[in-house]
Amino acid sequence: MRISGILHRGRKGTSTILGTIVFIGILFTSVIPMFLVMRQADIMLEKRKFELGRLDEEGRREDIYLYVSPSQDPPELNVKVENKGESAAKIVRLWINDDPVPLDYPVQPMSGQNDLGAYSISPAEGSSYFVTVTTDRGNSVAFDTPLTWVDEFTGWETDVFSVNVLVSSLPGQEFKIVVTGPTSSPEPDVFEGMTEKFDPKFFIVNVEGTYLVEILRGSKAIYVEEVTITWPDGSPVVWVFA
Amino acid sequence: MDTKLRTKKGVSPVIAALILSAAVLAVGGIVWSYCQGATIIIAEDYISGINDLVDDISERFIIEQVIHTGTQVRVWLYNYGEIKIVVDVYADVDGGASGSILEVEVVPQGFVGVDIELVVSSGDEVAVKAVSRRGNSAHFRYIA
Repeated sequence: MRISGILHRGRKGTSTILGTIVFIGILFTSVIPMFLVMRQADIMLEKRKFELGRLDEEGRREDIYLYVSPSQDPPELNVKVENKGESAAKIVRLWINDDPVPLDYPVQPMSGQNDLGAYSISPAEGSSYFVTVTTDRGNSVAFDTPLTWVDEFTGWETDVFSVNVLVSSLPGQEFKIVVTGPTSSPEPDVFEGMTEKFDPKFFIVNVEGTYLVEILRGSKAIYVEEVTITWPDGSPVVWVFA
Repeated sequence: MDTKLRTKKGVSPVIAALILSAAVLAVGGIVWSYCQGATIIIAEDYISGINDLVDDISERFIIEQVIHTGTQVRVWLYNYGEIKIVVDVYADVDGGASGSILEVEVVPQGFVGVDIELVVSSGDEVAVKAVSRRGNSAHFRYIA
């Protein structure tokens, strides 16, 4: 057996080793960092999607109610807003018909009716005025009924008086609502209707006054509240939240 | 004596190994730098695409109000998102004329009114559509 043959076969190729080193170097300095960066970008996209989804959900859950009552002398509209949602909202604009009024008014949840202020207008006889507010989440909320300026002697009038009821926290799914009033009347009107949870019910009543609102499940009254429509000193629309 | 000659190492295998190693290093270096450049470009393109996608999904705007005079329709746009938008606004009277205004810029939290030349009669129904350059849209139905 030749010793030199054994020696030649035992020698390793340095070029092979170098080639392997170059390959591993390319892998770890180019390819893997590229994938890491791309993965980081994907994570950023997913994070942004999550944030936007959460913001959109907050916008959908916004629950703002508007109350408008007029003044005659001077002619003004007094606007109040109530936030029945879970998170704070910000009113960024008030519309009286086609005129925008910029605002920057935060409304905390469950803080009752917040006074947005009184807005002077130059009403034209026979003109109706629609009031709407816009929030910073892009939601627009309109007051349920327009207010009409008759003349300087008569002042304001409204198309409807309304007692609106929204059941959201009482146990059960279906409810009967009975609105009776005005309580000062010897023969009060009675309005009845069925509703489901989270489904607002609107009762158009004939005159201002105090109304008794009863919410029944089956035959049992589970919620009773008195509300008063004081027109024109107050809003022609009142809400009952149960 | 034959054994002595056979155990002596030659010069050419060493030179061959050197040349081969140099060639591997040279080609490897070229491939390495090419790969680095290529992967940087691929990563930058990918990031750019992702950023564009983030901007696309971040747009938030509404048509807040539409008002008309006899010959014009004023459309109020509100951008309640966090990035600037560029929108094209179109107004179509049902069964009648149409008008548009292009490249309206609205900054974040911005509120802009744009006028579209359009004759609208009382009682006409006007469909207003705002389409952003990123492909998002908002709609409003207005009864004059």
